Amino acid sequence: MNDEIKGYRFLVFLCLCLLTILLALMANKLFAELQDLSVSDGDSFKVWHSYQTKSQLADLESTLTEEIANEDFSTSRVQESLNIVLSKVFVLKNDDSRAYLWDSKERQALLSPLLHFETFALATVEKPARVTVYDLKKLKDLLQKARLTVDQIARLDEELTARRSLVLRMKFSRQLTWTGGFAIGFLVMLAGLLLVMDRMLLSAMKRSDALTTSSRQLEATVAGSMDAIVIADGFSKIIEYNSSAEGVFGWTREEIIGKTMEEIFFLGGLGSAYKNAMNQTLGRESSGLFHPTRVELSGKRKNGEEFPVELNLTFVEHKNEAIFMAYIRDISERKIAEQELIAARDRAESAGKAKSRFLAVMSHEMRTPLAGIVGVMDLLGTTKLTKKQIHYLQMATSSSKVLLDHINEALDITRIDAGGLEVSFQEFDMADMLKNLVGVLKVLATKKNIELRLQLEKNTKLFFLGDGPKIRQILTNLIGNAIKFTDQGNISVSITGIDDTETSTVNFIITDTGLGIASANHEKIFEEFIAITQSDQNQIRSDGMGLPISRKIARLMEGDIKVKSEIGKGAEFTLSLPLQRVRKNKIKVSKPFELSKLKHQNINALVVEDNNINGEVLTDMLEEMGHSVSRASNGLEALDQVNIQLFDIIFMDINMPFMGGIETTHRIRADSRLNSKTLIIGLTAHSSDDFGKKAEQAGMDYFLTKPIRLENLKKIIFDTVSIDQTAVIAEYSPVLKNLFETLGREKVLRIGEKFFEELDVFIQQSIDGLFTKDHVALVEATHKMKGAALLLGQSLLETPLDKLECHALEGDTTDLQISIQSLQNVAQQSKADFFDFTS
Amino acid sequence: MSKILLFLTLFGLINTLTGPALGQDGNALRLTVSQSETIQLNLEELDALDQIEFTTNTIWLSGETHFSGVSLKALLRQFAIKGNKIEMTALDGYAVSMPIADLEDNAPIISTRLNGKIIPIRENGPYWVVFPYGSDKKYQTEINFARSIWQLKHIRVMD
Repeated sequence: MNDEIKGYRFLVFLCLCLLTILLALMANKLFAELQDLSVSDGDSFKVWHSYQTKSQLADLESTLTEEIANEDFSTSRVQESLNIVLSKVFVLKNDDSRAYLWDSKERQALLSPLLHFETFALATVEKPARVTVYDLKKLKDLLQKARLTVDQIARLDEELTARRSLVLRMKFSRQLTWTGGFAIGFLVMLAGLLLVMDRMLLSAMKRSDALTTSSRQLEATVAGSMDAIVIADGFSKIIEYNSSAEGVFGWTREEIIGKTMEEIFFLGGLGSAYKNAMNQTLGRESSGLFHPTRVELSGKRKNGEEFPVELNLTFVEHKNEAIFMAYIRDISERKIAEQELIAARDRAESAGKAKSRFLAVMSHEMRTPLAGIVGVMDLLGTTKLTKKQIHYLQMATSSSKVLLDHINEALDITRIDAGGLEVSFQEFDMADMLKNLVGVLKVLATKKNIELRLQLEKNTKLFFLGDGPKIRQILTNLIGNAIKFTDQGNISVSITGIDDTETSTVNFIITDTGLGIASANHEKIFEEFIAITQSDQNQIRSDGMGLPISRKIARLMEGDIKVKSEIGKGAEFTLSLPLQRVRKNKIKVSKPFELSKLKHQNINALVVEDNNINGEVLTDMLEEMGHSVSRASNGLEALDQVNIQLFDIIFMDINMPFMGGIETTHRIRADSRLNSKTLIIGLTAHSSDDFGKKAEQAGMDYFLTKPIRLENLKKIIFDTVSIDQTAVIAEYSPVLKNLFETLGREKVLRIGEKFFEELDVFIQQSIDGLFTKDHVALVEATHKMKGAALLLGQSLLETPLDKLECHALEGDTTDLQISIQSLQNVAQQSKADFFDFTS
Repeated sequence: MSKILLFLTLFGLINTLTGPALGQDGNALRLTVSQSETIQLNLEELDALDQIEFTTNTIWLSGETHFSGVSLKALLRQFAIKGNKIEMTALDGYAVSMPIADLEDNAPIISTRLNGKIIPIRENGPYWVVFPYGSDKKYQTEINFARSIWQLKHIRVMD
C-alpha cells in the first residue's frame, strides 16, 4: 500500500519536473525569439540607405548641372560631392545580402549602370588634371542612368524588408502560440492537480474522521467489553488493560501497565498461546480467514489465587513491532459447572450400568430355576398322564417358553447396549443355512395353512464370511413374525444383491400377505418396549423385543433392516448386510468318533452340573432314554470321574464353583488318558455367544444353552451319534446310508427289524418244508426277499437268495436244502452286521 | 603610462590653444565642447590616443572586417568633457545624437583604419563610428546601426 503511494508520488514528481523543463525551454525559446526580434538585421537601415543614395545621386545631379552651367567650377567641390556619392555606391555594391533576390545576370544588369558611373566617377576624382565640362556632362549622363537602378534597388530593398519582417513576426507569433498553448495546458493541469489534491484532502479528512470514529469505537469496545482485554507488546509488556480486566485480575490499570503478562498468567501455556496467535495471523495472511482459537490456561489474581481462564490471543505486527491482544474470560464457574455435569453424567452412567448389570444377573438367575422347571415338565411329559394333565402341562410348558424368550430378549438388549455383543466371522453356506431355517419354520407355517417359499437362485450356493448364527437369529425373527401376523396367503423369502465382487450387500427379503403396518408405525416397531396397538384390537405386532434386537444386531454387522408395508397389503422386511465372499468350497467335516463307542446303543454319559435340580433333570432325561449316567457337581469332581471310567459323552456346565467347565474341558483334553477324545457338550445359562469361542478353544465339541428340552437332547444325541454312524454305515452299505438319510434311523431300524423277522419266518418255513410241494410260491417268496434285501442294502444276502431262487426253479430238493442252510447262515451274519452298524 | 597621459593632456591643451591653425585641415575631426570651444583632431592626434581594434561582420560590408581606432568614451574623457549627449554629423549632412550614458568603454569606436588602411571618403572614411556588432547582439539594433555614422566630421557635446 505504502509502496504504491510512494510510486505514485514519484510519478507525479517526475511529471512536474518534465513540465517545468518543457516550460523553461519554451520560455527560453520565446525569449530568444524576442531577442531576435529586438536585434536588427539592418534591413530598414538599408532601405533608408538606398533612398539616401538615391537622394545623394539626385543632389549630385543638381550639383553637376549647376557646375556645368557655371563656367568656373571648383574641381575640389565636385570631387568632394563625388566622394560622398561614391561612398554610398561602395556600401550598396558591397552588400551581398540581397544576392538571393536576384540572379547574377539581373544583378549585373541592375548594377552595371551604377558600376559604369562609379568607374567614371573614380577616374574623375583621381584625375590629376583639371576636370572638364565634358567630364561633368558625361558624369551627369551616367548618373542619370544609375539613378534609375538605385531606385529599383530601393524598391527591392523595401519589398525584402517587408517580407523578412513578416516572416519574423509569423515565427514569433507561432512561438507565442506554442508557448501560450503550453502555458494554458500547464495551467489546466495545475488546476486538475489542485482538484485532485482537494479530493485527496477530502478523502484524507474522511479517513481521519473514520479513524477517529473507529478508534473511539475501539476504545469504547475495549472499555465496555465483558471480557477482560489486555494488550501487550512484543516483550510481553502490558500496554493496555480494560476495566473488566481489573475485575478479573484484581490489579488496577495504573498498577499493571508496564508490567509483563507473567504477572497475570502462569507461564505454562502462555508461550504456546503466543505461538498460536502468530500462527493465526500467518494463517489469516495466507488464506484471508481468521480462525480464533481459544486456549485454556491458568490466570493469576493479584492475591495470588490461581483460576482457569479462556484466552484468545491475537497478534498484529505494525512497523516491525508486535502487539498481542488477549481476550480473557474467567471460566471458573463454567469449569465448576462442567465438573458437576461430568459427575452427574458419571453417576447416571454408573446407575445405568448398575441397572444393566442387575438386569443381566437377574435374567441369568431366573434362567437357572426356569431351566429346572422346563426340564421337570419335560420329564413329567414322559410319565403317564391323563388328557387334562397333558393339556395343563402343555400350557405350563408354553408359558415357560414365553418367559424364557422374554428373559433371553432382555439379556440380548442388555448385552447389545453394553457393547458386549461381538460379531464373529465364520465361513458359512448361505444356501444351506436358508434351506435349513425355512425347513424348520415351515412346520409353523403349515400349521396355519400358509405357504412358506424360499426363492434361491443358483448363485446363492456360495460361501460367505459372516456371523451365520446371528444372521440366522435375525431371519428366524423376521420369518417368525411374518408367520405370526399372516393368517392366509403366503410368505416368501428371497435373496438379492449377490454379485461377483468380493464384498456385496446381500438383501434378504421376507414378504408376507399379512395385516400390514401403517407407515406411521414403520419406525416404531423397531423401538424397544413398544408394541403397536389398534383401537379395535389388542396388540397387533406384539413382537416383544424381536425387531429392535434384530435391527441392533444387523447394525452391529454394518447392515440394517427396513420395512415396506401398508395396512392390509402385507409387509416386506429387508435385511441388508455387507458380506464377504469365500471363494473356496470348503465343507466342514465333523470329527469322526471311534466306532467302538457308537456301536453301543446305550451310551455312558457324565453330567457335570452344580445346580442339583438341573443336574437331576438332565440325568433323568438321559436315563429315561436308556443311557447310563454319572454325576459330578464341579470340575474337580468331574476330573476324578474321567480318571476312573471311559465316557461316550460329557455334559459340562460352564459356570461352576471350584473349577469351571472351560478349565475342566481344557484339562480333560490335555491330560485325561481315558477321556481325552470324548465328546464334550458345554452347557450354559448364558447365550451361546459369550462362551462359544472360549468353549471351542478349550476343546468342547458342542455348546448348548439351558434349559435343555428333552426333545432337543434326543436330537443332539441322535445327531451326534447318527452323523458319525452314517459314515460308518456308508462304509458298510451305501444303500443303507441313503435309506437312513431319506427315512431316518428309527424308520430304517423298524423296517430292518421287520425284514429280518420276515426273513427268519421265511427260512423257518423253508426248513419246515412248507414250500416242498409249491416251488412257484418258493420262487415268488425268494424273489420278494431278494428285493427287500437289496432295498435295505443287504448285498450279503443276494448270492444265497439267487441260488435258492435258481434251485427252486430247477426243483432240486437236495440242492434246495443246501441253499436254505447257507441262506440261514448268511442271514444270521447279515442281521448281526445290520444291527451292529445301525444301533 | 602616466607620462604619456600627461604629455597628451599638455598636447591637447597646446592643441586647444593653437586650434584655429590646425582647424584648416580638411580631414580633421571637429569636437565642439561648448558653443565657443571647438577642438580639431587630425589623424596623427587620434592615432596618439589608446587604440582599440576588433573584427566583426557589418550589415554594410560583405564578410568580416577589421576596424581599429579610438574609443568615443575615451576621447570624451580625454578632454574631460561633461554633457548629456553628443550629436554627430557626417560629411553628407547625416546627423544622429546619442546619450553620453550609452557610451561604453570599448564601444563604439571612432574607427580610423579599415583592414589596417586609412579609410578613404568613398569607402565611408575617414572616420567611421562602429560597434563590435558580432560580439554582442545588443549592438545589432536599429539605434546602434543609426548611430554607426560614417564620414564623421563633427561631434557636438550637448547639455
